[in-house]
Amino acid sequence: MGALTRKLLDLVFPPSIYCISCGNLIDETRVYSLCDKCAREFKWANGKTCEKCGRILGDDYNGTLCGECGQSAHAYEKGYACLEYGSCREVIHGFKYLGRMYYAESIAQIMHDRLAEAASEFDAVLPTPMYKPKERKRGYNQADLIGGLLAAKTGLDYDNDTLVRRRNTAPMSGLGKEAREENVRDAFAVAEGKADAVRGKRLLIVDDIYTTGSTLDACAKVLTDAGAKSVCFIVLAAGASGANV
Amino acid sequence: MEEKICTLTEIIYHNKENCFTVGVFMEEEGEFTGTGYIPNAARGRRFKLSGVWKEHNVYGRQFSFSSYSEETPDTGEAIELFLASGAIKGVGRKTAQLIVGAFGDDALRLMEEEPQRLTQISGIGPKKAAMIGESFRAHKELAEIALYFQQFGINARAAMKLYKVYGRETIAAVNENPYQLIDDVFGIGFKSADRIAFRLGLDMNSKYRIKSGVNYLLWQYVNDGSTYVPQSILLEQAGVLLDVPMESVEENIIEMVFEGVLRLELLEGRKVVFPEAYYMAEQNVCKNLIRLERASLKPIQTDVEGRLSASGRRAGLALSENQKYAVRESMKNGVFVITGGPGTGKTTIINAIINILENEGIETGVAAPTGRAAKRISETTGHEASTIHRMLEYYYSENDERMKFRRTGQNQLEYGAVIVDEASMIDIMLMNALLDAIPSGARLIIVGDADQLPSVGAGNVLRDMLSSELISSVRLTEIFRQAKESMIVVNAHCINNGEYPELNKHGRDFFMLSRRGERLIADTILELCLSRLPKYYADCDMLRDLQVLTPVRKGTLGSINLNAELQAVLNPPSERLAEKAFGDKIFRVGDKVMQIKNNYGLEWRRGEARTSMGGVGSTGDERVGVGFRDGGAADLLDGAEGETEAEGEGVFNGDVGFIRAIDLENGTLTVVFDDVRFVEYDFSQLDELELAYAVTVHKSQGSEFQLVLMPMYAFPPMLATRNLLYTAVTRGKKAVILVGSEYHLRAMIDNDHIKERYSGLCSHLKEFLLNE
Ligand SMILES: [Zn+2]
Ligand SMILES: [Zn+2]
Repeated sequence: MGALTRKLLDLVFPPSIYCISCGNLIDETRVYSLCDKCAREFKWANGKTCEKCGRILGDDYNGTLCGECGQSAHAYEKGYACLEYGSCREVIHGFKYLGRMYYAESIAQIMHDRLAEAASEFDAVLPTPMYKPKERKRGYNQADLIGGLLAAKTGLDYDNDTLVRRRNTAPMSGLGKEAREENVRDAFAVAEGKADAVRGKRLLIVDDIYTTGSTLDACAKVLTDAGAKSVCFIVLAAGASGANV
Repeated sequence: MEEKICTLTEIIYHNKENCFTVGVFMEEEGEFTGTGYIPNAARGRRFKLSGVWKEHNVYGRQFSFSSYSEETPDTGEAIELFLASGAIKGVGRKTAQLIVGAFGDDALRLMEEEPQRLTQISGIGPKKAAMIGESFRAHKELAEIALYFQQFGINARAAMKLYKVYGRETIAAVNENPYQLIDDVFGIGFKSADRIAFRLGLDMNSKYRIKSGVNYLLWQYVNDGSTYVPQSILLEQAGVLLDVPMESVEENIIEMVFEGVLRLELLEGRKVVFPEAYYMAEQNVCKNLIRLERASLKPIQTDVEGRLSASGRRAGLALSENQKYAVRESMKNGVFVITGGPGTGKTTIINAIINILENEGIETGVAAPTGRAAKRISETTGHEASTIHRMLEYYYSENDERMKFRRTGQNQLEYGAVIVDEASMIDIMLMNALLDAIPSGARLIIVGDADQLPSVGAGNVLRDMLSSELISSVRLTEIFRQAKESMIVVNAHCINNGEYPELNKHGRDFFMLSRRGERLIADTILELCLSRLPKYYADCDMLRDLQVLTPVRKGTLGSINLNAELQAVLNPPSERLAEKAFGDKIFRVGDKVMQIKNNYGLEWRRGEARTSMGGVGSTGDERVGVGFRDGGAADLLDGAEGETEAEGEGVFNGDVGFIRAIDLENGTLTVVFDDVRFVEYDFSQLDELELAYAVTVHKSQGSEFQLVLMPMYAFPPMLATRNLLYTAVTRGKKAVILVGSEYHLRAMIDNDHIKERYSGLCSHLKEFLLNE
């Protein structure tokens, strides 16, 4: 997304007068453009979270890794999630499928607050890339919208043309873990001539949700192979933790 | 399906919410690991489990049971384990040994059928034998009831609450009308009752169900601080909750209006629903404010101006024009409101007002919403202050079987002036009671800080009075010269104005320690409490003078977890210290605890010296006294002047004390409040106590502490607000220490959102005048 498009986007950000989750009328003092009820009912990741993928674990949960991370390794170093998916699915739905691009402002702010000082541990922010023809068709890449704003808020470099998606992939929903991995195999690459943007860098990938991590693992793998010092990610929401005990 | 009769010998994992339990069970053939759902799993209980063997890839072979029932223990060993678990009142470890030693496998049958034979054991008299028998019977009944409720997904703790209310009739009462549980049993909500009704196959469209649902929703708002709910919101939410058409909800609301339960009103152009009591309270508060405002006052003879300059000179501080205005207007108006932050001279003004009123010979009552605030005002003004409840003579009425005020509209106070401080904490119900009792012609001076968190109870009394602009008021904004020395005061004002505070100024009292991540923040708090602060503030006692505050209850930095961690380092388990587990908490002798609800009937007596308490338990081993660090209670007795009654009633929400003794045999726990008031809690009352090493900012309202320590982290946006931070910071006297993320400190200051409360007082006040 070019600078011009981003400027245009600023113009179309409507004043936040409706809750981005339930659509209730709110006043401008509400943080994240959420009404009191939604802000209260969202499951925020401010308790115990998986040390690897960042998803919410119950306070009573034994152990430091979620069931899934306990069983399989990941290519990324560490993830941050802000919310449990089930509690904020309306926000993601509106943002991704109803064209509510202006949600990006709230989402980026939520991410910034989640990272707080940890933001200083990174050199650059990268969005999960979308297959270009698909992005043109949809008009925007939601990860790119959030990523640009998050980079501006944190003061980190923003890099949305280094990590690219080489082919279209099938929608992830409905696929099992193995099918997902197969689906994204070789789908990502570091753009030609961009190796310097990666080598020795501590990178933060931005995406909207985290489920099994196949996409983020695939991204992390190509970046690490290209010499990145570390690859972490932040997402708005992650699924609830898997099996307990 | 396989059945196993076994004893739970070790708990590996127990989730209190869904009751999922992993434990080691012992049967005749040996031990095995079992997994399944058991409410309140406790070692020593015997179960019949039905389930199947499963192979877990990490934990190996496990018996996974799908149902359980409690078995009466049948061997001497099992009986002893069961009795020693503390389930039976009057039986501790030693008594359990003695009983099983004497009666062996027959012990339980005997306790049930012929309890008097227990008197054969030395130390058990007829009275105690009867108590043990009764307690065992009750336990058995309870076990049956708990089993019955298991099928409805109601856990044993909730079943115990039901049993306390309905006794043997529990099952019948619930079958008849499960919704009555909501009113009768604390902690049973609409959703539990509804689940039971569903299982019992009751009609989902019944009026009783819809009305219960409406009440449930309405009270959720009231408990959250609102006095009403817009009807459209109520209808919509009730429709969703109950899955019934909105029209039938509306019909039921109208019926409830005719029954006198609810009030429908058109407020500022929209239909709103009040619980009747809250509607009446708001109306009354309006009427009374106007009554007091309009009454003719006896003019003041004193030379107010002269006194104002004189008192300024004497105290070494000149009153500002605004402060003089506050004093003058307090004399001229029937009702006057003074609001301002710390260091703006509210106490000086109160002193000047009292001085003038005393000179006039006007009898003046001074009160505050909490005992702690009242105590502080007594200390700073030298004028005896009491709680508002005490001023209004709150008492238990035998006739009505409830608490009432003796001072009412019919039996008003005999004061010519009333000053109430910490008015931000006064909710609509208390304001209503207070105003009723104030006679016309008396001056009412209301002092508070409207920027603090609002009252815990419903209403927005102080803010509404100020924003109505119908009650005369003054807002103090200037900080006193001396107060400017304190960074706590200066920074509190910064925060309140949305500016970032100045941190870590050398030699000052406002600090921020940067720590990243909740674990590191928690560890730093522990380390500060344990070693760094005691060194730096040698004159402060870390148990009494230091308070850890937190915005939240849950999570690593929530009050529940911080309490457990602070307890482990500040008052660790010891052979010498008796303990009592209650729910997920452990109370230990020496623990700092807080009363978490007002209990006006709870009796206290003035303690003598602490040595009289220890070692008088019947078995000796389970009742141990503890001394505080330097200077036991006896030394501190001298400090508590003015409290001379030998005994009294009433322990209030927010009162903090220390556990002096735990008596497992008699099922009681003794707490000492203010060093001299001894209160004995029955174990069944322990839900009124919480550990108080760390408390939520909401619970700390109205209290002040020498040292305040608070984590700064990514708290939920509803709580990470400017006025919560402001309230927390203004609790500190000597030092405020924040630990965590400066980013989040700034984010909290930027978040000036104040949670919406529906309150009609301001509109009602304006309406009252319009209608005249
Ligand atoms: Zn909402
Ligand atoms: Zn994980």
